[in-house]
Amino acid sequence: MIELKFTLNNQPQTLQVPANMRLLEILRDQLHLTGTKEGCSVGECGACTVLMNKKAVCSCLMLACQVQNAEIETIEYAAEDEMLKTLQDSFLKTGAVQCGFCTPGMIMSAKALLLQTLQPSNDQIKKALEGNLCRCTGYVQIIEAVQLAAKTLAERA
Amino acid sequence: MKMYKPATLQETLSLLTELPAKKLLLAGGSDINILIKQDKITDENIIYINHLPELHGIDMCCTKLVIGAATTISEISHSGVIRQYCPFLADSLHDFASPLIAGFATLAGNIANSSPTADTVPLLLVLDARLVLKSLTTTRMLPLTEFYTGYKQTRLQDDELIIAVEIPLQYACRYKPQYIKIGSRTALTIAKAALAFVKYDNKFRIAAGSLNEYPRRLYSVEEYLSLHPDDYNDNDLLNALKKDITPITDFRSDKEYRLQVCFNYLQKFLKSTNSS
Repeated sequence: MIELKFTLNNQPQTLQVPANMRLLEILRDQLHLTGTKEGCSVGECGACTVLMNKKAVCSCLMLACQVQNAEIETIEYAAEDEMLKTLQDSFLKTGAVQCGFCTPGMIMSAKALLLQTLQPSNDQIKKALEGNLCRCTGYVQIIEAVQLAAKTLAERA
Repeated sequence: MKMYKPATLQETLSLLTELPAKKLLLAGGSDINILIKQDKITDENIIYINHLPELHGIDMCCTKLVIGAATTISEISHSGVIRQYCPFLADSLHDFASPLIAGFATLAGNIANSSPTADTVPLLLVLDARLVLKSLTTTRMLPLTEFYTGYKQTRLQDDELIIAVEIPLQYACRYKPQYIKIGSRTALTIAKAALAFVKYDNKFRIAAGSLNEYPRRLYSVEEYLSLHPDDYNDNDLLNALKKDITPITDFRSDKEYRLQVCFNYLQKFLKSTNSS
């Protein structure tokens, strides 16, 4: 067991967990934050995407020891965070959500992109989302959602 | 399984000397963490090294680029220094996994994991890259061409750690190496075949991935082309290639396709070099 200290959605966390416990399990099983989904568990589907130090990562591939002192952000932060909230609204407005299983991961990857590039091109959006698989929508509406969020944020700024 | 997080590089090297043979070094963990989850790693000692500052960063030192072992794939592909001196290396990493993995997967991890399909290795082989290997008592340089000895076998000693990858800038780097990765799709794919190619001073450096037990230089092809730079014929070129690669049929592709696609790209690279 290790004493794991990290920041989760802007709140300090201290937990006793095995050093090889995955961040995905820490979030879902220890902290009961089930917005982050478990899909393939090998880094291929992106359903478990969270932000770690402002970069999108697969939480299924992160062990507790790698999260020590990191800043983690999950989809639950959409309750407070302007950019996540705007992305969530845009996904709903453009019809980018069907079953919704991939959506939290898509939104986290999209936020990582918007933190880097406020006005991303279509190609930049496709590149940023290439690790997130969706089996329902065919991606067109998802790309539109990210464009709409970028536009909305730019207008507000 | 026991996990260690040494506080310093020195402590890491001591641990490597003291611990029994079955041990794994963990930095990004994009491969190892899956094996842990799948219970395929059970009794190994795992030494976490990603937090060691000596293993990070990209520097220009005189005539070489020095890339810290735990530098991530995204850090390399976005680095201003790499973009300036080795832009084709940055471009070749564009299709490495996905941003969700490239953000924490490390360069030395890709090399040391010793996958036959390691994406970074073919290009580094033609760039004459060297590994800086450190133990408690020694530091040595090993050309990447000599690192692998068989499937998942390397010359890394039990007490050694890769601390950096060096790329000399005065040779191949100046001549725009070409690189192709063939997969089922562009993003997040494992290569069916990969080929890196550069010609300079009438010498050829050619390396392939996914076509042997480990990524390696194609010495027979290089030798044939150095004797026939302008008058090579396809038959002899193909025969030389067949001496260098041992493609297999598996769930990802078949050996006939792998040979053909490698040969086609070899011809394509040769034509583009001869016409420029």
